[in-house]
Amino acid sequence: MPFSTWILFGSSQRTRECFDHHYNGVESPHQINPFEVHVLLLDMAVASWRPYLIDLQDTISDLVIQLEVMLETG
Amino acid sequence: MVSQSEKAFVMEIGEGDNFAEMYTVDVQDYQNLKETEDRATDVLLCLDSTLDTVSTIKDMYRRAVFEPDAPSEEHMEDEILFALKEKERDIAYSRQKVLSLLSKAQNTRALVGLASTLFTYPTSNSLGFIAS
Repeated sequence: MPFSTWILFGSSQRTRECFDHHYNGVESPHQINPFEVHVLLLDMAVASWRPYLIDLQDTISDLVIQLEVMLETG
Repeated sequence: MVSQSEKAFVMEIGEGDNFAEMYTVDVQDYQNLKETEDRATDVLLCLDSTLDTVSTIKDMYRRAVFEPDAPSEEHMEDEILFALKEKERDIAYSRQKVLSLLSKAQNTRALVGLASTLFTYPTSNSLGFIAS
């Protein structure tokens, strides 16, 4: 199995923790499939959108309800 | 006066002249909705870009691991491929969610814009229809 070398610049605390947790579970980093790192990074990217999307949903819903109520009731 | 100048007052012509029965739309709320709509558009762009990245990685993985004449990867058991497809589904779901929110915001903004236009040109008697 080929292996790859990754150099991360300015990685977040969560990224470091995730990598540490992942690498602690294997005997040697060479055992890891190079594509696993891609999946790991994508997983973190997708997960980091969730709180933002929840906030966006709440903001839009609040504003829409507020404007609709204004239009309906005056 | 300053407080009133930040609101759009909409009143139904010919349906009573009680000022308390008018419709008010806060300009700040309207602007907030526009800004949030812009945020949603940016999110959509980022999600599209991430989806494209996943698709490229999946393609690279397929080329690196599977033989060129291998059957479709749909029939293959592979953890990496499974995880990549799962990410694709996650992102596509988030994308649909943002599209739905964007549509909701755009429709509401269009409705408010229409009400404001009718206020500027108060010749129509259709505000009751808009409010309903």
